[in-house]
Amino acid sequence: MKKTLLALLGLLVFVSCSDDEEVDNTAPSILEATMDGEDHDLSFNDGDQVALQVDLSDNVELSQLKLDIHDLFDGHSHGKSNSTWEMTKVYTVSGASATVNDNLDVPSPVVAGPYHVILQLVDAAGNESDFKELEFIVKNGSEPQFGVTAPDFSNEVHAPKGQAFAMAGTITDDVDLDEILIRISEEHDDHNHKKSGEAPIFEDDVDLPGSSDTSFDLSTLSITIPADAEEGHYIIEISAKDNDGNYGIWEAEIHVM
Amino acid sequence: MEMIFSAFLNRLFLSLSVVLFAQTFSLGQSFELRGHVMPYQGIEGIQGVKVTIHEIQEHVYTDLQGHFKLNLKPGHYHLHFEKRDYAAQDLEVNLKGDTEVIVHLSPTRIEMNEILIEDSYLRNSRLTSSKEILALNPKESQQAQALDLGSILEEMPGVNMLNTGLGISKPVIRGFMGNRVAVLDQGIKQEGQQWGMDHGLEIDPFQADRMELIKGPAALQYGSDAIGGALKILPALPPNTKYEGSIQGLYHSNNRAYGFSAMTGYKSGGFYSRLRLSNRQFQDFRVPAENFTYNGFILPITDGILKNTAGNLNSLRWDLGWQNADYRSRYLISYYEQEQGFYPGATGIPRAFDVGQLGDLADIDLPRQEIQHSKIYSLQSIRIADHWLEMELGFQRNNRAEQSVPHAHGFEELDSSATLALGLIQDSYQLNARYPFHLAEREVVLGMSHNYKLNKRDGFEYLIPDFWQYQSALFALTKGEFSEKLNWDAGLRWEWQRIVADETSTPWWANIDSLALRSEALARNFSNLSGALGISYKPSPFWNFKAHLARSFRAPNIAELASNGVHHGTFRHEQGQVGVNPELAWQLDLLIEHQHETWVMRLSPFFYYFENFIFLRPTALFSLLPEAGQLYQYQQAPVIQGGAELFFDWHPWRELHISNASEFLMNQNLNTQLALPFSPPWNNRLKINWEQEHWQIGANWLWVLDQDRTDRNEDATPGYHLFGMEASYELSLGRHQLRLNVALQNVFDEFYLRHLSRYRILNLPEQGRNLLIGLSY
Repeated sequence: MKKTLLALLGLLVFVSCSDDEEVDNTAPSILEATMDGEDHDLSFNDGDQVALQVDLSDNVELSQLKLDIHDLFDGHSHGKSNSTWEMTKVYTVSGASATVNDNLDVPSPVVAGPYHVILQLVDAAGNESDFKELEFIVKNGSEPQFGVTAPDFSNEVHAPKGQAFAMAGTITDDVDLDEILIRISEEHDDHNHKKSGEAPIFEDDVDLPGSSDTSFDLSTLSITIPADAEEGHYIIEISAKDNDGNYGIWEAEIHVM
Repeated sequence: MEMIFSAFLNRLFLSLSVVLFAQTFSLGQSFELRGHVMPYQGIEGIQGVKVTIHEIQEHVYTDLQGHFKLNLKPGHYHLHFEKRDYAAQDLEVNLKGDTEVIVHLSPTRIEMNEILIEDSYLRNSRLTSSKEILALNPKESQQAQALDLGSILEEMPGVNMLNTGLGISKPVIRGFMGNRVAVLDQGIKQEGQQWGMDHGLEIDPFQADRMELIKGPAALQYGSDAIGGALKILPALPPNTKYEGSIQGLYHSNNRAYGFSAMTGYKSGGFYSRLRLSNRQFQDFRVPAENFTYNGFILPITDGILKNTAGNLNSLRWDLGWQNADYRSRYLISYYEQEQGFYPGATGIPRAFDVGQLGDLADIDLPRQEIQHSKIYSLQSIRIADHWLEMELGFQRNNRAEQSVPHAHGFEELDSSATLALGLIQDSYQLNARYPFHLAEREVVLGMSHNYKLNKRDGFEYLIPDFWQYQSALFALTKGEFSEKLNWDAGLRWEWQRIVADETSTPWWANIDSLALRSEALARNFSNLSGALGISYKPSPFWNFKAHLARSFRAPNIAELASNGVHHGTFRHEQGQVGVNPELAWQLDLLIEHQHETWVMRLSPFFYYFENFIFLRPTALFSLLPEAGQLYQYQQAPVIQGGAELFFDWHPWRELHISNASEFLMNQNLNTQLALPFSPPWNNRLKINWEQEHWQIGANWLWVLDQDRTDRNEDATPGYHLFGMEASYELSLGRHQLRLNVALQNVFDEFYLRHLSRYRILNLPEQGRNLLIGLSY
C-alpha cells in the first residue's frame, strides 16, 4: 500500500513540477476587423475594391491569419450564369500585435447575394483564436429589386401581436423569380454580430413555379405576427432569388407590440 | 448491486485444496472424474454447484451430497465451480486415470451472480494472474438503459466512453481509445476504422451480455493495439434447455427511444444454435437548455431538442456450436447496421437558421453516419494428444459512410444529391491459432495471429488513402509459482506489420478538374518484440497484491501515417506523417486488494511511460484548404500517464449493497508540457441498492470534477453531479419470468458538458432527464 501511494505521490510531484515551466497556452485574438472601415451593414458591388483591415494581438508571438470568403446562400442550389465569390488567403504575421491591410477585389461578374468573410488566427505556439465573421451583401445590378410602398418604414412601423402584417409593393427582376423567403427575427441589438439565440418568430417560403415570374406582388404575402411573440424590435427580412441564382435582400425594422 | 461484476471479488478466501487419488491403471478411452464440493470450513457437501469443463464447455451440477461425476478422455482439463453465495473457484486436472477431487468453496455475500473469469489463453485465474481482469455481465435492465455499448461500459472503474451524442460511443480504458484499445468479439478483433474519433463500436448492446475487461496492456494475447487495454465480448453460453427464448423491450422518454431484442436458442446433444435479432430507434434527444454559446454567438436549441440526433440500429447475430469429447467448433455470423444523425453544427459552422429549425424529430437527416458491419467467425478446437489446439478464422466488412450536403462545405459544383462526404469500406481477415502444452509440468501457450485488412475510400472529402495492412505475430505465454502464495506469469510476442498505400491525388477541393497530391506513397514495415512479466502475491486469504510490468509496442495506424484532410467536425486539417515510428512504452500496473466476507476494497494504481507517444499537435500554420482551420500534425513526444482506481463494495446485510468506484488519471506530454486531449476527469460513482427476492430498488450518484488539465486549444470542462434511481420487479409466470425495470437518469435535469464528448467543442450539453422502462420475458 505504502509503495503505491509513494508511486502516486511521485507522479503528482513530477506532474506539478513540470507545470511550473512557462507554457504559452493563451489564445491570440482578432481585436477588430473592418471592410471599408465598417463592420456591419456591409454592401458591395461587383468589381468593387474593398479595403480589409484586421487588428491582431497575442501575449507572445503571432503566426498566421486566414481569410475565407464564401456565400451564405442557406445551402440552396446555385445559379448557372455566374459563379460565387470564393476566396481563401493566408497572411503571415509576426510580433505580439499586428495589423493586416489588404485590398479585396469583388469579382465581376459575380452572383449577387449574402456572403461572409471568416477570419481565423493562430499564434506561434499553435494556440487558435475564436474566429471572426463579417457578413456582407454583394450586388451586381441584376438581382431582384424591391419596391416596398407600404407600410412606411421611414417612421417606426408597429406590428400588433396575433395580427396579420400587411405589405404592399413589388419585387421585380429581369429574369424569372424562383423563390421568396420571409423571416422575422429579433433585432441584433449590438453590432458585434452576436446573434440572438431565438429562432425566427415568423418564417415563410414562397416558391414561384412559373417560368416567367418577373414581378411579385408583396401584398399576396400572408405574414402573421405570432400572438405569443415577445414585444420589441424585430427585423423583417425578405430574400428573393432569381433564376440566375442572384439573391436580392431587403431588410427593415418593425416594432412588435 | 451486481452491476459491476468484479473478477477479484469472488476469490474471497483462498480455499482450494485438492486431493488427487489417481488410480494406477485403467483400460479404455475415457476415465471417471469424481468430485466432492464442500464449504471451506465444513464437511457437508454443497448441492447444486455448477461444474463446467472449460475445454468442452460441458457442465453438470452437484447432487444433494455435493458429489459430481464426469467421464472424460485423458488430458488436461480446466474446471469451474460456481454457485450463488459462494466465491467461484477453478481447478486444473491432468486426467491420466480415474480421479477424485475435493473442492472447497468459500461463502461470500459479494457478487451473487458471479461467474468465473480468467485469462482465456493461459487459463490463469484472477487470483493467480498478475493482471487485473474484470467481468461485466450487464443485466437486462442495464441493456435497456443504454443506447450504445459505451454507456454500459462506463459503469466500470477505469473505463469511460467518448461519445458523439447518443448512439455513437468508443470505449476509453484509462484514457486510451481507438487503436490503443482492442475490442474482441469472441476471438477476433473488431475492425471498423476505430482510429476515428466519431467512429463508434459496431456492436449491439443487447448482444454483449458477457464481457471481460483487461485494464492495462494486454498486447501479448490480443495484439499491439491492446496497449491500453482490451475489452472482450464472450460468446453466448449454450442454452440450458432444448428450446430457449427471450424477448426484451425498452422505452426511453427523453428521445422516445424504442427497442426490442428477441433471442431463440436450440440445443440437441453437442449442437446448439442461438439467434438474436435486435432493433433500436430513437428520436432527437432533449437537453436542459434553450441555447448554447459557440464562438461568442448564442445559438438556439429550439424546445430544448438537439436537432438531428436521432438514430436507429438493427442487428442480427447467429451463434452456432458443435462439440464432442475430441472436437469443438463455434461459428458466428453477425450483421449490424446503424444510421445516426449528427447535429448540423457538428459538420460546419453552426448557424441559427440551420440549427433553429427542428424539422421532423424522428427522421435522420444530413449530416449523418451510415454503417453496415458484417462478421463471420469460426473457432475450431481440436484435441491433439493431451491438449487442445484452438484455431480461429474471421472475416469482417465495415462499410462506413459519412453523408453530408456538399454545398455546406464549399463543393459548389457537385450535384446536391452527391451527399457521400467520406466513404470507407474495410475488409479484414484474421487467423489465430494457439496450442497450450506442458513443458516439464509447466503450462506454455504458443500462438500466432495474422490480420490482413484492405480499406477503400470514396466521397468528396479526403482523409486517408486506400491502403492495405498485414500484421503477423508469434507469442509464447507461460505461468508458474514460486510458492503457494506467490505466482508469476510472463510472455513474449514478436509482431511484424506492413502497411502500404499508393500515392493519392484528388481534385483540389471544389475544383473538380484539378488534381492535388494528398498522400505520399506509403510502404512501411514495423516489427518489435514486446514482453511482460508479472507476479501475484496472496500472503493471506484477505490480501492479494499484483504487479505487472510490460514493455509495449504499437505500430502507427493509417491516420497517423497518411491522413491529410479536414476533420468535418473540428475544421482541423489533420495531417499524418509518413515517418512516424511505433510507440514504445513501459507500463507498470499494480493491484492491492483486501477482502472480507461482506466487503472488498481494491486499489489499482498504474504508471505508464511512453517514449514516443503519437499525438496530434496543433501547428502555428493554417491549412491552405478552403474553410479548413489550423493544421494539426501527428508528432511524437515522451508522455507519462498515471493514476488509480479505487473500488469499494460492501454488503452490510444480504439485501443491502453499497459500492463506490473512484477513478483518477493524470498525464503529461513532456514536450508540450500539457495534458493529452480527451483525458477523463476524476470521477466518483456511488451506488446503493436494496434487493429482495422479487424486487430491487437503487439510487446512484455520479460526481465528476472539473477537468482543467487540457491540451492546447482544448477547453476546460466544469464538473457536475448526476443522480439516478432505478427499480425492478420480477414476476414468475409458470416456468418463465417477466421482469419489469424502471429507471430515472439525470433526475434533476442537470445541465452538463462531457469532457469526453465530440459535441463538447460546440459547448453542447448532454441528455437531460430520462425515464427508462425495460421489459424482459
